[in-house]
Amino acid sequence: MDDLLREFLSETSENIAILDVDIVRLEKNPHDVALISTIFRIVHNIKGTSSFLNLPRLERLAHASENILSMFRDGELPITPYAISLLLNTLDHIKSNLCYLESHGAESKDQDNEFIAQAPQESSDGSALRIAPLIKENHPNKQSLSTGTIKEPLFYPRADQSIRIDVRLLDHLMTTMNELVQTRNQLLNEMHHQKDSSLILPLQRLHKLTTVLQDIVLKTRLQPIGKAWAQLPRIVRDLSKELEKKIDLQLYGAETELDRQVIEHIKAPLTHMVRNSADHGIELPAERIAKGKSETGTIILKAYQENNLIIIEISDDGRGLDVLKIKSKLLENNRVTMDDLAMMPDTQIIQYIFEPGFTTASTITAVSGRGVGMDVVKNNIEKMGGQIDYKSTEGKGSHFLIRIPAPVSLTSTIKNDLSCHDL
Amino acid sequence: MKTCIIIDDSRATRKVARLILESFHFSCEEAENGQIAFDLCQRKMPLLILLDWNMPVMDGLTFLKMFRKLPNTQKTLVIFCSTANDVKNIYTALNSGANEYIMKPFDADIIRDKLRHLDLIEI
Repeated sequence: MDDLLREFLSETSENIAILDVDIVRLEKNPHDVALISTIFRIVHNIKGTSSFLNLPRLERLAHASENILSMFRDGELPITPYAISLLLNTLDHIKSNLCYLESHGAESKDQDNEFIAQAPQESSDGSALRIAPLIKENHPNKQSLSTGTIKEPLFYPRADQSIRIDVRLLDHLMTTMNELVQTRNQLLNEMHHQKDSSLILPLQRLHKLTTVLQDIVLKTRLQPIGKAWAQLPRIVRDLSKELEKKIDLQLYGAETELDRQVIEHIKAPLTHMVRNSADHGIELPAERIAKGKSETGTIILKAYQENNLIIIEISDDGRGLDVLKIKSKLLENNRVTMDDLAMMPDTQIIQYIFEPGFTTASTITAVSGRGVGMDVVKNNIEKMGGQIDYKSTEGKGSHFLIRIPAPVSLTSTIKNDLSCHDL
Repeated sequence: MKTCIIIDDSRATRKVARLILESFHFSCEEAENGQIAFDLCQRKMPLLILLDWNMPVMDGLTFLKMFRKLPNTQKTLVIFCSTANDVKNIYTALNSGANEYIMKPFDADIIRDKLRHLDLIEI
């Protein structure tokens, strides 16, 4: 039974991740009938499996979402930002229930009654119109909301033949592999001194096989970077609502592959930087119009491979970094003197944003300004052997460039070393 | 050994079904949609099929119709799985070549009843 619960948890978490992206996409494309069916099928799936495992709480939450969706489908409820929020809220409740289930092995005894009462229920006569007045009361006509969109569908190749493996097993495989490589190298070194002809052929073979094996092991650990940014459309959507801004999030290159550990480490920095762009970078609609920009700000995330590097670009068309503001903040905190500043070129001053505790946000919002930020981002990226650079044109937006070594095996460097040995 | 294909897009549901059917000494294969199941059937015809309705790529009804057009399917029994939401589909499924239907969530007792009814198990 434990095994089954684990399967359920992993399947449902995957489904929830897909829903997060799809529901935000639905808000942008409310007439996409196929998309509604897909979302419906996934929610239905969660409800079905919850009932199999006798998890009534999750079943009820999924059922509440299903009600909203069937009203969308039948045109009984318009797909407004408020209705989408309602759906996303239900999803969040499902998420927290899943977390509880994962740590406790059983559902919580509390009830979501209060919450579920908010969600539409089928009334006794089968019609489900109760939601309509509820929406009008709470949010009169507040529909001019912009959200993040995905220009390119997040695509995860789904092989017909795949199995699930414990990550620890993969890590173990990797360390053992590295030891094997070292042993092989030792042997090769010995051989170099001895010139014992009878061993040359099998050793050459061992060398080649080890190299192939190491490449295969590395490939087992690759994951698309889209996994690290799947949560971003939802975050940007919620932020644009909170900040009353219009933001278009565009993601390119989701299929670019990185080692799973790198994916884990890059997630937080990327999220942080996109939040920064939304909060500090993109201006309010009125301000943008006054500057002659389009009302909707754009944040672009791009990932691609260039030679031996994975490049991730994060850019926005907001106000860019305000060098004057950074200068005055530095003076205010007694980090530098006026004389220091006079000597520094702008590029050097901008480097201070990567210092611990630095923020130019004048107020602390729920979003940013707590001063935990770019220094952590920089640290995380450098830990992976990468680097981060910044270029900004004041008033025109900012542009961050992250470079991370592409997943290549140690063997490729060793191979080069050995080529001159002429095995 | 009696063979079965479990067709459902949920891994967890397939696992539940597999545990039950294996307890009745079936050897099971799984398919996450109708297309994959159809390919499996063309290679090797199973004795029993447990069929979900709503799936991506190819849904249960499309599968069922295509399946019954294949030669040598008359000995294969199809149990269609329905949820409360698509009860109305039961009639369609039975008319399209399903031999039995069960409601989700099912358990070992429900499956045993249906298997007995289809003469697939004794007792």
